[in-house]
Amino acid sequence: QDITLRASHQFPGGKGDPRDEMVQMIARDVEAANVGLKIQVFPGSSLFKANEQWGAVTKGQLDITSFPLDYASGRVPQFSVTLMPGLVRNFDRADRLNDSPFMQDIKAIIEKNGALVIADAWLSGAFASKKGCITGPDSIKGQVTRAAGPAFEQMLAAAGASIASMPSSEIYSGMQTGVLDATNTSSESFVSYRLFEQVKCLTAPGENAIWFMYEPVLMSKQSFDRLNPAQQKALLDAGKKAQAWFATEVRKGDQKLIDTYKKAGVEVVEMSAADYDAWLKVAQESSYKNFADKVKGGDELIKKALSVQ
Amino acid sequence: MVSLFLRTVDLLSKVAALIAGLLLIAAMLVICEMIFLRYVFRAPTIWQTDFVVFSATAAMFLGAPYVLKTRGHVGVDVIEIALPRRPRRVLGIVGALLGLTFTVLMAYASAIFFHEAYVNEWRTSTVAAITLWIPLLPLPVSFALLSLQYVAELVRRVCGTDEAEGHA
Amino acid sequence: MMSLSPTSSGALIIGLLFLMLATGMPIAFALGLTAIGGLLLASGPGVFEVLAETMFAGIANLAYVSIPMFVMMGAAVAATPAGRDLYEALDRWLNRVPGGLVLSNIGACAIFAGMTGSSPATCAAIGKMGIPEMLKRGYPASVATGSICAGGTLGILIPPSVTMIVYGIATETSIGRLFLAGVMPGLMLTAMFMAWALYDCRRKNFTFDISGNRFSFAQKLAALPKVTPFLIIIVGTLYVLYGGVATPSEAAGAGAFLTLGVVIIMYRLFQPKPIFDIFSSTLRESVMIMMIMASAELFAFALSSLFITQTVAAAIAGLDVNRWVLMGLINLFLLVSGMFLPPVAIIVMSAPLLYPIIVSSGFDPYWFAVVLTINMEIGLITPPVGLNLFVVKAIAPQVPAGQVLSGSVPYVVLMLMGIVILSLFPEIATWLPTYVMGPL
Ligand code: NA
Ligand code: NA
Repeated sequence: QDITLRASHQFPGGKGDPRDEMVQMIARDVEAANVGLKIQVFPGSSLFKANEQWGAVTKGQLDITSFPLDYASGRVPQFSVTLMPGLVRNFDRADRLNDSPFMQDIKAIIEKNGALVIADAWLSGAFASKKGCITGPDSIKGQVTRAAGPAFEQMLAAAGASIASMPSSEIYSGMQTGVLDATNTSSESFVSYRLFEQVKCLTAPGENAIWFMYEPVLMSKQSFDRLNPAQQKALLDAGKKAQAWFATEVRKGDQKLIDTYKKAGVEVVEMSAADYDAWLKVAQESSYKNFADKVKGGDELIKKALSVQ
Repeated sequence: MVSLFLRTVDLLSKVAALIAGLLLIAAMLVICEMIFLRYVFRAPTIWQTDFVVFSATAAMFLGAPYVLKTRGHVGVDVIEIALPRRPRRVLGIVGALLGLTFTVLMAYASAIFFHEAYVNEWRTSTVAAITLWIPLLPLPVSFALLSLQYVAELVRRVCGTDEAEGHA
Repeated sequence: MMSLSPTSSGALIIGLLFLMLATGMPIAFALGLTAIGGLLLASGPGVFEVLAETMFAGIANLAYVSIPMFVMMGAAVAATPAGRDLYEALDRWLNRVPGGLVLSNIGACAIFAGMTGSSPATCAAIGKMGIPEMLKRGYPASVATGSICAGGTLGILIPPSVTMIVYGIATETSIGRLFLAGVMPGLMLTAMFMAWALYDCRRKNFTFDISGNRFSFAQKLAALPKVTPFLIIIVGTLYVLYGGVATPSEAAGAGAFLTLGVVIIMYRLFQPKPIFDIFSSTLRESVMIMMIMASAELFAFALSSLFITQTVAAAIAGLDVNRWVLMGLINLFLLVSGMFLPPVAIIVMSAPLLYPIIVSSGFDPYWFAVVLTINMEIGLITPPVGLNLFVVKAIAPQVPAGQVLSGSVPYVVLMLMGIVILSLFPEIATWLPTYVMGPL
């Protein structure tokens, strides 16, 4: 008897979005392995909404999903650390983080909740503003900013920015009408929402990026345990391959971001090591502190992440 | 006894609707406060968005029993109108039974969800990190009240009192 | 679990839905109960663990908060004599124009539409004054009710608009931009409605009497201050929306606040009764809409779980036809659904399905939102479920249902013509958003 698994994510399907492609790749490879296993992909929130996927996958109502783990931080507070300012810094370090004790802790928590990681993925993000270049913390003071992620909202507020919440689809019109001065979101969204028509300066990820988000491919443990060893192996192998592919693809995405913005006449800068350190200091007093105070083992998680070389 | 039940259910629906109205007003005032803080003082707004979303959503759920009572939920009543009196009554009772089935099932489903959020101390994944069972409470309450309201409606339909009262 | 093919389970679900709707039960609950049935078929009883979250998350969204707020704006103005004042002012100015009353009616509908996101609210507010006045002055009953039924539909085309909000959320398009796209098509339909109503009067051998009821210029001027509340509300809300003050979702709250303030202060609405009525009608309409949306969310989840959505989408995408044939088919689908289901239910369920097809066929998503909305407007005045027909029947019980219907039919044709015109000149919808907010 063949088994069909259901995979869900929130990204546009079949449009070359690397996060969709990653899941599609796993589906193709698993089917090609000929182990009586098939994966049906439901892209673009067509089965579950982004925020509902964690509940569904841990309860066995959904088999596979790819989504920002931070979305589940209301239920598993430790997950906030996967969208915490400054913890990753750049892609090379993200690779080293994946196998560090820090991520082992996170994965143990994921497993305890009924899911397991079949592919790691880190996404980079950028800043942009209509007023000037966002570099150090001082540069964002007084700007109405939309931030991607609560830990960022805390840090930016501590740096003196005025936070406005809105869905990412409203960023463009927010900037256009002047509700928003600056925004911080993933490199992917910066390109797809055509924000280069609105902003004056882009702070590209580069070597000292403070925004990284963990967006793994997860599988329900209940569903995984139902599979036979050959099927399990096929899935894990496909996951490893997709992970490696994504890690190279996501870097190309950042280059595309820089090219697109330069071509549109937007000034493109990067944060310096000094800027990065200054942000880290603001984060220590805001988001890190808050996380350490409110989350059991939070302090230790941050220390473990920062100690990775 | 029956009329006491009917009156109690109606009263509960009205109280829920009153709370819903107040929540809508609160949501409206907080939106204005949020705009004012940001536009005039460029001050950060933290808890406002969550408050607005959850109180407006709560209002929509809490208002539902009252809207059922006042027959404000739109239905396709072409067949009902075309039928003679007796079959129309039977059809109405069948419809109310189906409605009751839905609200009872949803009352059960929301109770599970509420319970889970309560024991696991779930919060929202936002800066405000609101305790999730609070905004979820209106769900089981609303579906329980809707079920009661449906039982009341069935009683009325079976006893034929709804025709005397007229369709409000 | 899934043993039925998507096609047969799809037929089963739709059949089940129709049977339930036939009992006259609330559409929201019929959608929800059918969905639970389908989900049990697709995933078994474990699905109860995710039902409540799906429904809750379906409507717990900042953008959706604007729906009760825009409904409240309409309810607040409708509770005052503001509608009568607007109507009277238009009448004094248009009095010398043959058929001026018809023009005032439709014009008042269009202006009122600018303050409420919903069509039935527009219909009720203007119809309460307009229909009795027209009947009193001897206009044919079908003209009186038809112009109000149709004029009322402008409520969801001229911004703000509840259906545009729902479309914007479902397709992740900009709500501010969607609102702008509806402005010129709304004005175009307004003009078309006016032209037809005048022609219809003539056709029915109604002679316009412009001899009596003359108003002096002083009287005309005296009517103007009474329209200022409208201007304050519309200009104020527009400023909040497009002046960099707030996002569209927030602007609704500010608009509701402004409207309540204007209404309470300028019309001295200090008694609890009228204020209570405003909230009662706000709750009734917005809860009705939001319950349908929450249940439609469950329904869409069931369709997707049974792979029905994907099968239908693949079938449409696989149709190797000209893009305009495709657009025609989509319109047909929307028209037929619009006859039975209220706009929000249709949009929640079909927009995510149609949107990718529309975009990949090279249609502008904002233009399509306008076409979709006009289809939904048609649904509001077609039987068996036509909200505006119900409203008008309730405010003009003396007009037989047949006349209400026959008066509305021509406007269906006009709106279809509107869709054709928009297809020939898409700029009517896309020019304003591009001008104000830049190219896509
Ligand atoms: Na409107
Ligand atoms: Na209809």
